[in-house]
Amino acid sequence: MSHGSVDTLQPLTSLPGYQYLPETEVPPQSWRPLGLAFLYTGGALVGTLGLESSSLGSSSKRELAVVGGAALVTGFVMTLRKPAPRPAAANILYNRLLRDQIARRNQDIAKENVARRQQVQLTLVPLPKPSGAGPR
Amino acid sequence: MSRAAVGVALLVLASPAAPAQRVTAIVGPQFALASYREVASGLRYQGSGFGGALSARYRRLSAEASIVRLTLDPANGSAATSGFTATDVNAWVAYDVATYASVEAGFIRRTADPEFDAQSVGAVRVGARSFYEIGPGATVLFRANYLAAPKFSGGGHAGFSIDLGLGLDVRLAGRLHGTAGYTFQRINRKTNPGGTGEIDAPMQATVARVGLAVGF
Repeated sequence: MSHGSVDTLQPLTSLPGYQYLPETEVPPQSWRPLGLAFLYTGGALVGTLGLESSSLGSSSKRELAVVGGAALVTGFVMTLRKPAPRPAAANILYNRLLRDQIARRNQDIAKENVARRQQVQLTLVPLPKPSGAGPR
Repeated sequence: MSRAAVGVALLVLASPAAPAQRVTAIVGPQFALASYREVASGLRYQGSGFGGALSARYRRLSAEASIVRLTLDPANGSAATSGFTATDVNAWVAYDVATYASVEAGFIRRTADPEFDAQSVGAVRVGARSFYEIGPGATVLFRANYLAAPKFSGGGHAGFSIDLGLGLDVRLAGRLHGTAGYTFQRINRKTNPGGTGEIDAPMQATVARVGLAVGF
């Protein structure tokens, strides 16, 4: 008995025409870090000026200058630096859909391969009698 | 109260789930500049000192503590004749209620030495803070705390006491961080010396702390 060859399908690792996208992206440089440093330092300055006691007079601004200056310098440096990569939500979603699609196609391929193996052609050939063998 | 602050920090660090959930902490020394005014504009002091700060984070929970010892001398034109040493202890426990905001509670204790040269004060802090990562490893924060139930070494009470803060934490290299913090404190103290009637004896302090810290 012999069986014919079966053309089974290989599982997919990618879909033709569709590629995985990077899941992080580097946001464009912006003045946001410096703006935020200004906002936070400004909040501290406005709060200090607004809450100073009239009877005690104006408080020393030396302390705020030190820390506020450090915050503004940090904001400026961070504005010039390349921003840190952040997760790209749309790409992550796209990749998840692509992975799901490939997994679904591979399940279909596995089912189809099982069906193909069940439909293999079997050939039965009678074997010749061995020489010298005779009825007893 | 400093023991309580250390206790809070240790609780966070020693949590059984801590290794798996990644507790982050930074600790390091700080140099401080301060100015202080009390009762009237003529009574003002300026000085500097050294201390340390610790902060830790576990998921949405964070804790922070600092201690600084300040040597305050009469400022130019001050009516004060001698300076004093102040030990300032602060602690906070905060819970993130949003991506950039936390509610927090803690305490403040500032003691003066010699004891009668300035007011010692202790109070409970309740407030909120906003924080934002302005760049890779650089976080800026702003806080506003109401100082509840303040107690003074010289007696009296304060209906309105507030503490504002500006903070900065920058990862300089690897585990090394640069830290800076500013605090403005206004306490509307009122006293009734000898039962002659209530008089205003406000207190106002500003402190800047700058230092280095190691992250764990």
